[in-house]
Amino acid sequence: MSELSPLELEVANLIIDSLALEDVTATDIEPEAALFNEGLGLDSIDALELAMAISQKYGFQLKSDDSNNAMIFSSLRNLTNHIEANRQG
Amino acid sequence: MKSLPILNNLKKDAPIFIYKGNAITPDIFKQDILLAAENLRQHHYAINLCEDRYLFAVAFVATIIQKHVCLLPAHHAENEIKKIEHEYTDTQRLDDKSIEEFLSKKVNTTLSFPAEINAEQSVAIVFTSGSSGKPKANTKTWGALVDSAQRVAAQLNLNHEAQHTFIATVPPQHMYGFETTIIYPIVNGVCVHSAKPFFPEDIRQALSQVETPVVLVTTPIHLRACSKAQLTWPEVDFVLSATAPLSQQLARDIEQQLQTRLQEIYGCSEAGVISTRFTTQNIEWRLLPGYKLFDKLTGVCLSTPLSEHEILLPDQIEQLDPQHFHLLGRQSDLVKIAGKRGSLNDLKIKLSSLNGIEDAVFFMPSDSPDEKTRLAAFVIAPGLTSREINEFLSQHIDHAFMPRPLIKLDKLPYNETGKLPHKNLVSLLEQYRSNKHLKDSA
Repeated sequence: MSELSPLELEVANLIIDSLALEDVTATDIEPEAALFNEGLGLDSIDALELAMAISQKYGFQLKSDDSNNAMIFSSLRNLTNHIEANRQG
Repeated sequence: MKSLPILNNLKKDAPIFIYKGNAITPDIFKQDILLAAENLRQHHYAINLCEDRYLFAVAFVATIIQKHVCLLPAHHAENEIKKIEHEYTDTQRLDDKSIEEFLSKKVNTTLSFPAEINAEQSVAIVFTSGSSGKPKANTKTWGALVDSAQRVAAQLNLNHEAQHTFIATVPPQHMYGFETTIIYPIVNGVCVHSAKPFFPEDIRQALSQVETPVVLVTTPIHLRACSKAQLTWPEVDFVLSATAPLSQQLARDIEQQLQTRLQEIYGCSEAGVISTRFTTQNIEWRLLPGYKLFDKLTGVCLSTPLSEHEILLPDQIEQLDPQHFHLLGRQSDLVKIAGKRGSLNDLKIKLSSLNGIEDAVFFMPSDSPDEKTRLAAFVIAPGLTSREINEFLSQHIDHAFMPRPLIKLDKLPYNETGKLPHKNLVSLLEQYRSNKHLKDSA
């Protein structure tokens, strides 16, 4: 198992809780593995759900015209970095 | 044989699409259609995979004037498209890139734009994704699409006079998106923005880029996300929502936050739009003028002025008077997620084909339209891990039907008559969740 940073662990738990992935634990999520399609196999309904949870917890909105979007959602680590850079407060 | 006008009855200077920031009038649209039609290869069918609404519309009408039939797959997964190509052999694929390429060629077209199209001409086949098996085909004639669009326009007061611009989150290949964002501009002259915003912030930005009055065409899934996003919304003339009924509470939240009116549409791929309601005012649905419902042993059927045979509706319906009805819910085996209909039993059969599955059940924990609409599954499979089961499912079923959660058990909560009542399943899921919560906080 790879080591998760504290914020990665927090984001992993947010993903698990907001998407009801009850058979997965935070440490099951590989920080560099794909979140969508392969890996955890998330889809576009999940992306909206996750965007809602992120905006509520970290106070900023995700956008799909962000040119880095594919990168942001590509792994737990990249999503966490994006949250770190954009979180309010 | 009866023919109906195409584009020639619209106001010349009123744009019907906004594409890359440009206002597209019917004349510009026609030029682009002819250019695309000239470049189409001669195949009987064309699979329209365009994501941009304007390019989709160009491809659609180009195929109409070449007397080809547009095929609209429920989703773009390669194996789904292959299934369609396997059945409809004389086929070409059209996507944003191929249409853009056609439009960049400056050829002198020898085609001329027809004034009318035969009402009987089959112009599109809309596929409904089942949870498993072969996609179901719904053939649309030009006459039926025009007739339905005109009835909806009359009921909702949609026309170019109102100068509405539509911003839509729904794909043009789905019947709801196809009617509202492709057929309505062509038939009713409303203006459609070619973009497809997704996240609440995308939707807010798209709405604020359009001069009012703007109409948001969307689904309960997007509306729920918007209502929680705590954004400041630009002026919206009204919101159209379809694919699943909203609660009055969520409808009120949306009307308050967006300072707007919300109209809901109920329909199905077989018939298109059937009825509408102004949700915060009435929970009953109002049929389109000229549409009739009647009871049959198998369920409630619909007849429309142009349908050759009645259409069995997939929902439980209580008719109140000839124009109004209540929607009571789905038939128990059927679920609908993100506009896709599926059968719980089909999903179980699909999963049971995996070696090592001893028993399984899929169910929808909550029927509330305001909560997450995700299936849950209990599975008995001592030799398999959850991950292996999920991997198998993601390759074999539509992702919208993936169970969240999938829980492995030692036995299923059968009652004494050998059935699995919904309340047993829900209470077991709740039990499981509270145990997990205790474990997590310990």
